[in-house]
Amino acid sequence: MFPIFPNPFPDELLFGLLTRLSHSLLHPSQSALTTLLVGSSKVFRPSIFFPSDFDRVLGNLPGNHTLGKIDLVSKHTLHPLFDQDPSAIRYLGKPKGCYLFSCESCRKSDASEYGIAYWHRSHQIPGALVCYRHRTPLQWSLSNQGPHPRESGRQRFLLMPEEIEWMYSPPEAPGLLTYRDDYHIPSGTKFDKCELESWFRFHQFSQSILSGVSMIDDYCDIVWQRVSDLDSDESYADTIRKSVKSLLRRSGREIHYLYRLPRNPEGAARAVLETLYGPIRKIYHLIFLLEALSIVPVRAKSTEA
Amino acid sequence: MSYTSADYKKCGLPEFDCNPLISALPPVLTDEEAVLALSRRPMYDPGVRSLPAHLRQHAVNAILHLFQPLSQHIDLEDKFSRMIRAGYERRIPTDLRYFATASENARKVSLESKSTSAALGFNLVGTSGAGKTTAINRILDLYPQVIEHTRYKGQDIYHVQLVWLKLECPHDGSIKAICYHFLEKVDEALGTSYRKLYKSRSTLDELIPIVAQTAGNHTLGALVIDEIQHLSTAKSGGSSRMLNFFVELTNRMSMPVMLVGTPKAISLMSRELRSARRACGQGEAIWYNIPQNEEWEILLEGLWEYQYTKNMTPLTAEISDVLYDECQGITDFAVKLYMLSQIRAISQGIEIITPALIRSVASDSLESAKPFLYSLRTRDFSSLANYEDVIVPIGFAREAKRRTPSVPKSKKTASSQASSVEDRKSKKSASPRSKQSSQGPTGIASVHAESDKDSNYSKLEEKGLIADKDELD
Repeated sequence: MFPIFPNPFPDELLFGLLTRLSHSLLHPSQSALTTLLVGSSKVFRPSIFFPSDFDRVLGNLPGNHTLGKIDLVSKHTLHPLFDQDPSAIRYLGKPKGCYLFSCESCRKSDASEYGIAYWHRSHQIPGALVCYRHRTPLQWSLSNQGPHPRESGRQRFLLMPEEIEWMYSPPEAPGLLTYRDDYHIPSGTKFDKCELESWFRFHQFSQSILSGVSMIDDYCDIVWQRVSDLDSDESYADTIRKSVKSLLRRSGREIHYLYRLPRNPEGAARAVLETLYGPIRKIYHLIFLLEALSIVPVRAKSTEA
Repeated sequence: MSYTSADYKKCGLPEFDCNPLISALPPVLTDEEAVLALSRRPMYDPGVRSLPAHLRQHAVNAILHLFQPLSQHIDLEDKFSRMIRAGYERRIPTDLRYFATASENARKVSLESKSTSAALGFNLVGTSGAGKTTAINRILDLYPQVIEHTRYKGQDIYHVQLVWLKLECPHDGSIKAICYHFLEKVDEALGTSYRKLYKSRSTLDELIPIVAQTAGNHTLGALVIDEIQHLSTAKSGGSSRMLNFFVELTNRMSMPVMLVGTPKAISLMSRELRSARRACGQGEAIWYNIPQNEEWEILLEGLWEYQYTKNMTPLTAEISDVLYDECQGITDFAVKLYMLSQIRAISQGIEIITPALIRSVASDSLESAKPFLYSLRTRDFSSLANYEDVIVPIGFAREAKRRTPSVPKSKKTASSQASSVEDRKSKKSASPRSKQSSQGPTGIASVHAESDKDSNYSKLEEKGLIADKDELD
């Protein structure tokens, strides 16, 4: 039994609760912590999406602990993006080579409000590249091992955002995210405003689904209708439309290719959508549709100019 | 394991009422309430006196469970109550920042840092057998050791509060041993497995923040370290590092540390200036043997009810005098003498407690303590200074230092070190071990070496060197 499981902060990822527990125990060894959490030294790899052994973790909490499973699942995991019924839990493993995301501004405001920066659920939405609160681009964990980097031969396990290094773009796609002044981001870099705006909206939609207030189906229908109304001569819009339709049928494997979405929606989405299901799949539809609605006209205008 | 659920009570003090850790504690007691709460009177049925002798000899053991509160106990309860609440005032687990700040502070705890005193804890020093441990245990029993918080003022918050933890200083005075002991005691109280969790952490640099962090995570209210005089056997520099550790815990974690020990510990603690200042947080408690006054009478009256001989012996002035003479106000001896006298009265068929019986039992049972009791009886402080477990009024030590400024450092005794705080600074390599008993005449002894033993007390009293107990509080 471990009677010090942290009380969750708003928008804190369940995985983040585990890292905070580990931090408040001064990071015990992985096997010792695993034994503490699940009662045996069986290998326990806490997934970023939803820790698969979490039933056992919850079973080890003191009887009167105020954390409830349903509450945890719906408020502190990405599960609602995949299934809006919190009782039907799907256990999601951590995709291999998965990065974690964090917003620099959130880290600063967390530190002043909560004394420590914590892992936000909303930053880990697959494909989210912009913080929906600050409109700033999310930073990438330096190691694609997520928060489990090896340090001087000893594996450190479950680290807090302040304990790992951050970068603004992954090494394999340098300069992917750069900013404009109106997004309060370092200047001197290139970024397509529409691109950022559409990702910001994407994040907002995802976040609204997580907080259970989204009418995503309605949005989809409206936007889809508007896409259908677009002039069929518009070649780019047509491409998008076709992509969306085809993507629904095709398969892909690795969701971390999502970062390619703004630049290469078709290729990225193809690689992505097969592995996704539930509401998030609709968000991807929506984002493609938004691409069609917002980016296309702008590009069309610039072409005209 | 189930914990005591928090029951928040208001007392009217705003700073107490808005703090879940304080308002979940039992109410602050008045002196009268403290007497009632501390008092422990085992069941006694006068009918037991008619039972066969072999059974009554067992029944006598009930006296060991008796606790008769005296004024020093009430004073101690008051100090402890103030200490634990003062420590909690700045710790509020419902404050979102509390745990992060505690973690940050725990990582800063170090044996080397020199923080300033926060004066939260205090020390209890008393003659061996004065009942320090029993009294502390009684006081700790007034508080639930673990309190579980689940909801406070409409806010869901799960927190397990560890109200107190009592450890014994390890015999070798090792910091590592006390760190492991700390974790084991926490596990015992909470049903956790911290000791196992950190089994791979073996260096002091790793263990010290772990202790601080564990104390912070469970908002430990008071850490009581008993038998602190064991520190005198620590390796060179070990005792000051250990005391520094306690100061660090108190300052950084706002967690009061209470040190309990025999006078042998005074010399150790006084050498550390910061620790000496800290000791004054709630006023230091020094317990001498009980003087033969109304306190002694209260103790005897409390004891006297528990008679297992066939005939009830009334408490007379003669018996009181004889008992005092034999035990010299040391409660442990008084209780044991009273018990053993009854056992002998029963076994020999006398079935009544007489002064002669008490003297005979004392002569047999307190054999090893005889020289010490003799010194107390004759107020022979020069001899008493050879006993490290007995309080010698501080005035003696001061005088000893003034008169013998040229005593080589290596030969200084614990008593002279008690007042040599400045001296400590220039004496980094001094051994904390003070082998008074094996080094012949001590500082006090040297002061009085030429004096007539029987008149030592009166001579020193004339010179105003004997501090009154109240002045030392």
